[in-house]
Amino acid sequence: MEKITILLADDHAVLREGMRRLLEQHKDMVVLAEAADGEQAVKLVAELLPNVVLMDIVMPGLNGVEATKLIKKQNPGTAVLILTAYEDERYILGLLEAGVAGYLLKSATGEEIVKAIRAVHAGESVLHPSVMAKLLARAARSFTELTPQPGKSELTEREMSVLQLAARGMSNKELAQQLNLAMPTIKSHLVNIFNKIGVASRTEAVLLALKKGWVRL
Amino acid sequence: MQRNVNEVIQTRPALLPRLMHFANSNSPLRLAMQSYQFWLLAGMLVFAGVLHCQNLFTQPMGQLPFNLTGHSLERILFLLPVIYGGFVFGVRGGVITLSIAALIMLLRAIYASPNPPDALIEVTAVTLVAGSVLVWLGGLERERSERQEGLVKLETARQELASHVDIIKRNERILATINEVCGVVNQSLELPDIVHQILSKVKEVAGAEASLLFLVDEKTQELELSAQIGLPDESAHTGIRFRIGEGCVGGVARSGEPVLIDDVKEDAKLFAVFAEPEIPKFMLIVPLKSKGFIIGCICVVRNTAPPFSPEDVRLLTAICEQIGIGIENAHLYQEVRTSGQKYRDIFENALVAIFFHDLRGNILEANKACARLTGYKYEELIGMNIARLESSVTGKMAAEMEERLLRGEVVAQPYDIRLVRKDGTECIISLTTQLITEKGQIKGFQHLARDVTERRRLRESLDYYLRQLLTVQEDERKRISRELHDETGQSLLLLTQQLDQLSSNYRIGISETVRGRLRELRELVIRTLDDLKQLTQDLRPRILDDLGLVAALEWLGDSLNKQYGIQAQVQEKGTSRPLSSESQLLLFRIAQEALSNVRRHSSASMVDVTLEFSRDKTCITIQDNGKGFKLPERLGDLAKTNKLGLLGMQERARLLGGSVTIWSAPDKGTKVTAELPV
Repeated sequence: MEKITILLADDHAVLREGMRRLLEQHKDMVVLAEAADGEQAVKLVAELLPNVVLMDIVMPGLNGVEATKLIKKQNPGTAVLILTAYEDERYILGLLEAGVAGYLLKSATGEEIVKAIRAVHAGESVLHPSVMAKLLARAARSFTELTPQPGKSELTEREMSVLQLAARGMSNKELAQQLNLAMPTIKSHLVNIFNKIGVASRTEAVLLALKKGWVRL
Repeated sequence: MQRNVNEVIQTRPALLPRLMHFANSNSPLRLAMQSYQFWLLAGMLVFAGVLHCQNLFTQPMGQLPFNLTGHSLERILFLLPVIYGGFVFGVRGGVITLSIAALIMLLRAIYASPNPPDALIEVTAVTLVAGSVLVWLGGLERERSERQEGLVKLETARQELASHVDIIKRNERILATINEVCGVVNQSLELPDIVHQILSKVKEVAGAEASLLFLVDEKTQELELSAQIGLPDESAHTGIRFRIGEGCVGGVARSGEPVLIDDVKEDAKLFAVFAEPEIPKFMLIVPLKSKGFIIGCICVVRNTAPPFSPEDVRLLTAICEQIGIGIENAHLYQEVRTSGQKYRDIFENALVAIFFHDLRGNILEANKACARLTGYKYEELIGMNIARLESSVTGKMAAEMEERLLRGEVVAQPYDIRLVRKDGTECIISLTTQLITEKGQIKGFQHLARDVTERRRLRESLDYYLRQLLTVQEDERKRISRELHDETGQSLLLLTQQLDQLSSNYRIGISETVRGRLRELRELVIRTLDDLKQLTQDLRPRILDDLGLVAALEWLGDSLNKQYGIQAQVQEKGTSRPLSSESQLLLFRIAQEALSNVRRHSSASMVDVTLEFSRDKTCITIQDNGKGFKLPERLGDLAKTNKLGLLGMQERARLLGGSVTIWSAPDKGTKVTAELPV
């Protein structure tokens, strides 16, 4: 089985240690490396190309948000999960803009973290869909200034409908039901979409669609 | 005829006593008898009589012309005594003599003359002649007596005239003296000069040894010895006071009537004024009046006789009547001048610079403090235009202030402007300006200026330190917040992680109860973490530093929404620009304070927060629809109504050059506006 490759980035060694031990309990995950600050994280991502980066938002030097931006630029295929202390919408929006796949509270349980990693990798929404929808709606409002680009890029019609429905907050299961497709099909569509538009997570994909005006909420 | 002498004596038994009586009386006859002329006359009569009657004894004379006989001559001879009698003893004497003569002649004519009719005719003729002579003499006599009377009258008239001339001369003298004295009084308003001259004149005119002037002190109703001439020790006596009514001097001051004193010793206090060896004896005290009021007295003193006469009294009284007004005027003038001088002194020596200028700006008057302030000398200041003292900025401001005053507007005073000194240095002055009006017309401006450069500097220092203090305070909060969050929070996080791992690690052999407990503990720690988060947010919200002012304001609004159900809306107006962290923080703190008040006091359901960016300032407004409050008269009273937080905000805004204004009215909500310049 393909393991999910993970990079841990946090300036607190003890926390990193704990995290590694937690994750390595699970067979489907492997921690490739650890970074102690943003710069190191970016470097290691470029080197090792992990699937997911689990990163603390507060780090000396380059902070989590900045590192995320850089990572997304260099390696759009890597999903970034940010650990943050603040749940405030405004912070989240900033994170979304930076290109995170999702966020987790620092006080999250091990279970929650594992679940999140798996979800991201599966192309699912990390957050509860309704929360996601609200957030995306907020995001949409701030994107209305941008002139929508009519071109739909390389997405197929099917892919576009998947994207649109996902943007409305539907889960994969609901998508399968709606489009009358099997779950794996949905998943592979999503992966294709991600690859085509250069994102690593559902969140990013929806956001991009909103930005480009492919989807209207 | 042939009477017996004895018979005569017997028929006049009272003759002897009569004679006796006659001898003792003062009748004219007796008096006449005392003179030699009487006996001469009598002799002449007797002689003539005898001669005429000698016919009895001698032959008649030969023929005379006119058919006159010798006896005619004798009759004519009778004229002599008659005329003489008339001359000497007047008409009466003449008539008596004539009567005697006529009698003698008649007797002879009737009884002894050979030719009685001729004789009678002659007698008659002679009598007539004699009579007419007597009449003529009488006339002469009357004339003479009339002339005599006339002379007497003339003499009396002359004497009267002389006495009138005397009086006139005397009055003239008095007038001359008065004139002189008045002249002195009118020459100057200097009281000491006038008084000295008057006193010496009075002393001269009255022929006195010394003259003293007492003036009434209105306030104490006392007479004070203000000046004197002639007393040996010039300065020792002035200042002695009498109450009105006390002693001789006081008495005159009360009655207004002059008084002559024969012995000064009787009034001991007055006497004490004079020192040995000049012992005064006679004194005349005359009141001085002006416009009907008694303003004082003048005393003149003679050490030796003669005492003062009523004429002296008249003269002095007349003089005093004239000079009363003059002295009072000089006295008043002196008082006005002293008080005028007092005010002048106050003006000159005031610590505050005072100066006036006219509408064109030319300085009319300035005091010493002004000279010190500006560095110019007094002579340089007068006439100088104030434009020279103004810096370019000041000039406009000062002109504006003056214009507003002219329009009648109320201007906030005092106001600060810059002043350029003579040496070119500038200072800051606090100015209070007033209009000068004269008879309803505006003539210029009066300024009071205080050098506040030092004060301003101190204030600025104070402000600087205050800002530093506040910055330090905020930084401290930030530090604490961060550390709490990052350090303590992190540790707690770690704890939760560990607890989580423990509870979910099924490889470890712990009971379910223990796992449950561990999970509970984790929850507790999470709650603690949340509390910590809240604490640190209140101390210094991360969001302000991480995401900016608008985000932070929205966060404030959200928590108001979520926690207290107050609908909060945050708006941005104008083109946003980056604000300094100090400004951002201040605006945030103000909003925080205002919203806290809304939460605590207003019972509002809605609040609007507007952040407005304009060209020259950034403005934040927090308006609620709550119950409002009555704005106190003075902003300081806000402290009493528990709105101290906003006062502090005002001060902080001021430090950054901005301001905070609060508006509120009962049931009309509250609006807090904060402005910061760009």
